[in-house]
Amino acid sequence: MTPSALAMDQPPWEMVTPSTPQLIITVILAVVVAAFVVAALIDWRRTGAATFLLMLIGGYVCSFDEPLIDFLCHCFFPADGWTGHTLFNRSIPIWVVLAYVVFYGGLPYVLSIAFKRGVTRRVLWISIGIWGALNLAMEIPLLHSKLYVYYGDQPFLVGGFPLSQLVFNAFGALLGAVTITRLWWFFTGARRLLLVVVPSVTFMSSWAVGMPLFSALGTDAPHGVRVFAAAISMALGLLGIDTLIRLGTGQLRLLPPVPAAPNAAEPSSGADRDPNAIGA
Amino acid sequence: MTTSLVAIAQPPWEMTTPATAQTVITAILAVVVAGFVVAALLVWRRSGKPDFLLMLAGGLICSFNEETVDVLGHCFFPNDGWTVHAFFGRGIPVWVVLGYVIFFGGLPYLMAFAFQHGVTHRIMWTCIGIFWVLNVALEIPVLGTRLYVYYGYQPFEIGGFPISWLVINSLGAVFGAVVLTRLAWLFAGARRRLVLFVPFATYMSSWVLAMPHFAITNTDAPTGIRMAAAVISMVLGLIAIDVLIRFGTGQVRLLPPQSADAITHRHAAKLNADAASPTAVP
Repeated sequence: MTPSALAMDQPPWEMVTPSTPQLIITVILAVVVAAFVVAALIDWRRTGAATFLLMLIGGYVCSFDEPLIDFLCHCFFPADGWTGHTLFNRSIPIWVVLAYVVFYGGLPYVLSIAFKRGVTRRVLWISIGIWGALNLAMEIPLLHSKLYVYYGDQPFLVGGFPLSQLVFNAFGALLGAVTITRLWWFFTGARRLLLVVVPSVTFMSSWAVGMPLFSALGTDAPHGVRVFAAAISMALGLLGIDTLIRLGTGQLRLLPPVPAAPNAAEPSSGADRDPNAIGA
Repeated sequence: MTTSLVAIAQPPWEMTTPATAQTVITAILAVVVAGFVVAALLVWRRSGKPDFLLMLAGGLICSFNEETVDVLGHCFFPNDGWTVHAFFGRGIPVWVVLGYVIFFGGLPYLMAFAFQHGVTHRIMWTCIGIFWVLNVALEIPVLGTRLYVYYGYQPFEIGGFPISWLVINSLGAVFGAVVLTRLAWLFAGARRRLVLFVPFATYMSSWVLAMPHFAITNTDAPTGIRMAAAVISMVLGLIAIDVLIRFGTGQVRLLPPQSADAITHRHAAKLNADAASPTAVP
């Protein structure tokens, strides 16, 4: 097997942070996070469970994933801004940390509430579509202001934004939502504290579907190969999103089949089997 | 909030592959993989299920994780060897790919087999301990030949081998084994092909626990902090391995209370009925 040529695009290390856009986006996201925190505190008081707040904290913890995903997907934030933390030689601005609290902490919690209240697959897909449109509407102006950049030869760029990121971001948030929805019975008592690591663990696990694209980005493969790899990753991601939605709505259940009650006189009616369980 | 110092140790790009050592290790691992493949074909013929073979193929697919984990954990293979695939500027030699087939394909399958045949928690930990000893016994001489290197400051090194990797590697393998065991009912019919992706997905997911170590490795934090980060990752990894073994043996089941009761009740009823059957063996 011939190896791919060894190459790695370098970030634009010389890039600097535009101060006004940084101020604006930081303030906006700080207000949104504050609102989420207030909502979480009210929810805690009302329900007696700190799940919402723990997920917001989990979103903050999840922000420590950003340097690594930046390395993989070739995203770069200038290092001279208001930096929240730095790992792998990648500085992450405070506004990005705040965005993580919203998108990987708050949003999965809101999705889990929707799942519990019976949202349908159709409604959820429409919501994801709306979210994707809003995501684009937000990121393109931010990219235009040079707050950050997706560097190197990126497939499926729209206004500097690789469309594949819509899939990966949605997949990561959904995986967190489905985890806390389907395993709600596990995150009780002292184990409730484990919620603070759910966003980080699920987001990082979700990168598996992005690896075909990330791998191609880490070479000097021609554009056609990158497009192909991105298409594979996006297809895997969309399939994953649909499966997660089905799991979240209960249309699919990840439960082993329950053996039928043995009764030599009467055949089992099958009523004891969950018709929606995979393998039932 | 203060930032960590910004730094990333660079691999020894000028390092070259020792030809004889490469030939020897490749030949050894090729023989072992061939043995696994033959065994997998025999199992397929005997049981009608290609799971073993699919896991070996899954180990091959899992090898595409190596570049990423090398960047994270500061491992480097010279780029002038018999390279199978490469990205992020990291070439992965044939012998490493063969190693993946064994350690992330074959070994998890054997562990799953052991789980399904009632291996105990104690025996499983004993086996993992033996695996660690063998792992160290293999890696130290190979590192001595300069086939590859763990570069930069690595905490808890023995003969150039950071022992945190024992936990990282075995965690990934055990995770794959438990998924294969506990979701055996899922990997049936057309879904059996999903087994191909189990090693890749489980190994990559398992790195989450290694992130304290990986994150600090990629700064120029002082020795004490690096050691503390490595300890945290190792402790988390050991706890996870123990929990996974308990899942694998069935000592712990990830089932919601109602389902657990239903399954327990049905199993008990089935056992009672079987015992009462005139044909039951006492």
